[in-house]
Amino acid sequence: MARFILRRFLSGVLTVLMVFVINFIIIKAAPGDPIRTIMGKETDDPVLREALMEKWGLNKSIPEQFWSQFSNALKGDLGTSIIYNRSVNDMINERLAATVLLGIVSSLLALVTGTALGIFCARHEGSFIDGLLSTISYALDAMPSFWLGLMLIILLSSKLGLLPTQGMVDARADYQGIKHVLDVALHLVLPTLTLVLITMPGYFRIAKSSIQQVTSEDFITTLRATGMSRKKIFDKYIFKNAILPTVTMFGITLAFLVTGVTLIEIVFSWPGTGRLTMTAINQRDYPVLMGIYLVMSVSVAVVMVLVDIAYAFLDPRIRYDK
Amino acid sequence: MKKLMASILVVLMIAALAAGCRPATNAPGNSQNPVESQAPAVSNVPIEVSSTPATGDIVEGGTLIVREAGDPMSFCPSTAADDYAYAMMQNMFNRLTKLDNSKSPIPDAAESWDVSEDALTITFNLKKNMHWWDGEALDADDVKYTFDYIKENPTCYFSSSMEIVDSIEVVDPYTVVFHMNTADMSFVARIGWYGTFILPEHIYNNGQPWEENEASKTKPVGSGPFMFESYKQGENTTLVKNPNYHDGVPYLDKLIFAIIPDDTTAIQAMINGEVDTISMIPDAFLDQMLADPNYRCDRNIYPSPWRYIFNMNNSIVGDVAVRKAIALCVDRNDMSQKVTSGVMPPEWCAYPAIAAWCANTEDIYPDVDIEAARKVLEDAGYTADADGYYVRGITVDCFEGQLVDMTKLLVANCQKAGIELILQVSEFNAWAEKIGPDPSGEGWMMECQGGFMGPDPAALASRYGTGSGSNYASYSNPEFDELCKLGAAEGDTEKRAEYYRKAQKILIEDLPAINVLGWAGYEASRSDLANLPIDGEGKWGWNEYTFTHYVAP
Repeated sequence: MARFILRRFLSGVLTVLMVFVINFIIIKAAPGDPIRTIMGKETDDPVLREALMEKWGLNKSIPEQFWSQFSNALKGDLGTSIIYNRSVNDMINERLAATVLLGIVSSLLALVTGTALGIFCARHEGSFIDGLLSTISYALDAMPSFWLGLMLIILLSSKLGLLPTQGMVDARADYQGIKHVLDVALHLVLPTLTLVLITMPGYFRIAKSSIQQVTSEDFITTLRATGMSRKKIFDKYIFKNAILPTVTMFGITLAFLVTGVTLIEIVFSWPGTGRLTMTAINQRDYPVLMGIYLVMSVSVAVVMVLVDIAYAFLDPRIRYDK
Repeated sequence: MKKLMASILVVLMIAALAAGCRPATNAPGNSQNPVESQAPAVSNVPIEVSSTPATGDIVEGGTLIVREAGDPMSFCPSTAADDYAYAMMQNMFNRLTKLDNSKSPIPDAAESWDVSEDALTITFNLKKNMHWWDGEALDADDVKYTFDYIKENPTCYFSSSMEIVDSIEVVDPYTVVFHMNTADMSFVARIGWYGTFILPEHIYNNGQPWEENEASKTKPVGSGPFMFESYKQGENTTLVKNPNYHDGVPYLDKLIFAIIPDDTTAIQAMINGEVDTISMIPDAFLDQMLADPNYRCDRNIYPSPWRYIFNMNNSIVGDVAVRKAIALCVDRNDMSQKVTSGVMPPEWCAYPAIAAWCANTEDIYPDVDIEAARKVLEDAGYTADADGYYVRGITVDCFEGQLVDMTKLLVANCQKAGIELILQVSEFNAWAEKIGPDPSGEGWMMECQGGFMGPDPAALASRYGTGSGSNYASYSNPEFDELCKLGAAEGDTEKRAEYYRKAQKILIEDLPAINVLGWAGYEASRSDLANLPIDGEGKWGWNEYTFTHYVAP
């Protein structure tokens, strides 16, 4: 296992390095630059442009710019935002908590509800509930996340007044202590609900099809022939075998949710890294973009290693040391 | 769940139909008669109050939440042209002059100013009771320090504009004189806009660049009506009232700028009571907001016309006959109605008609006339090809949703006139990289943009003057340049206006650009608010909330 983890770690490092290089090339190849944002739309003063290019080192050669960014990143310094003149580390850190909170809560809820419903429907295949939930899962899959989010805002906030529309806290009330925690929880409901509704159908269908597939395996029939109880067969054999694809999907989903769900964060004004990414793209804030992409690639690599390790525990047939 | 979704869809469809059926009478400046609609006077009123401002007993205190679409770049107001920070800075700092909601200069830190006859000396008389939040006095030394720094540092937005200032002299703590090397009457207006806020010398003059000073990052020290309390990235900036403000203590206790990037979410937040005032209401929600007695909605027109600019160095659109033919294909009323639901009025003048004192309302762009467009081309020797085109392959570069829709209408009209326009849509940054002064004439042909042309007609020189960095058309006309120069140097307002009217006449004849629509949008605020920025023409600043208050029900 230790050798496997080491191998996966090295592979993850290599992946992150490749992603860093590719991202740098893509970002630099994109038209435009951050100087236009700083100058504003009202002037194209060449003297101002030249002075700002000089200040931010954007008139240096591309290899020089790459090396500067790369060497700083190796030291853990993601640089300074060209637009906001702030440490990129600080900017990402300030946003990460909001994104992680939203990502983890919605991932777990989607995993639990989607899988539970999938299992239920697999065990009651052909029933009315199975048909209804399957139809709903396809309908939810077809809905764009931002549209669903806006519909939920209109219905649950604007029309019914049950929940706050946007943000992470009530700025007017400015709650402290436990009231602040409750306020954040209340603001978390709508974006979480949207994300759960969007990601749950995936878990639902994977869980359902996996259960159905394992249930039809010969060894299950054999177990039934031995007279073993249905509950024991399900708990001990079917569930354990069928859960592996769900774990993979959870890992992938979690990695991406944790690094920001841009559209959801924009629709709900959730102050996370997804919104920061979108702003940095629009403003061509190179250091911020590189920083976010680095965090994102590291997160994905780490989660993938964790998923592989989880596999070994869940499925005794998997032996990575061999 | 199915029923719920079906209900939502039905509601949406009804809302969409209702939006499409909005009576044309709601459209400001709308006219079915093209002759009548040519009268630029329709857009001479920058603010159109559609509901009565609140009246009643003043409520002291309270919090006002203003929607902002993005984070401020920093808390140093005099380095960059930061749209998202403009409203915040307006309430935290002072300038010598400031622009009111009509975008005209009014006194700020300077209670008055005198311009010498030759316009080479401008004397600003400062108010005598101004203080920074930390108690230090704001005086002429702070003014001199601020503008000297801006002049010496080319990374400051206003630095190039300071080239015409020779030196700044402090006569006494309340008198500061700007000695100019070039006469420019627009200077007083221009220092009321971006990047000219006065900064405290005792905080900033420590050898550090302004951007690196802690005051620019986390602890701003201003002199304005509201003091900085906190900033949460991506969430909000909170200001509290300055109890010692020299122009009077604000009524509101707190002013919060809530960062909500999405327009639709912002409207829903307002309906839900999370936001109190919002600018540029999306067209889709305008009827709803106009009909709701809980809000007052006011149309604000800016001197920032949407316009087509031609690359004068290009061999095809460099021909004035082609530009005139295209100008005859512009159907402003159609564009106003179809693209902006009538919110943005047709712009017929070469300088925005809302600047009534200097806009040339006699020499204006022609109304749409497809046959006349064909005739212009035929008279210039163009012949139609087998497909009926006189001119082919003119590209039009656009970057934004409504500009694209507007251009589609022009493309269709030009096609009828035998002019092939090819619409090229880019993201803003890609557009900005491509568009600019182009000596080769091969980079682009025609483009569509907006952009501020205020606060003074001197902006004509920066947009169309020979060699100006913002003269994307690369237009050059010595007579136009001379008129702009004379206009800038003239102290008499009527004589200035006359120079600029003549300059506009030249622009109408040469057509380096075609103004199409006056940029406008509705602002919505709670109906129990009074003394909003829109009420303060000639009295207080654009986006300033010093005198804003709630009224008792």
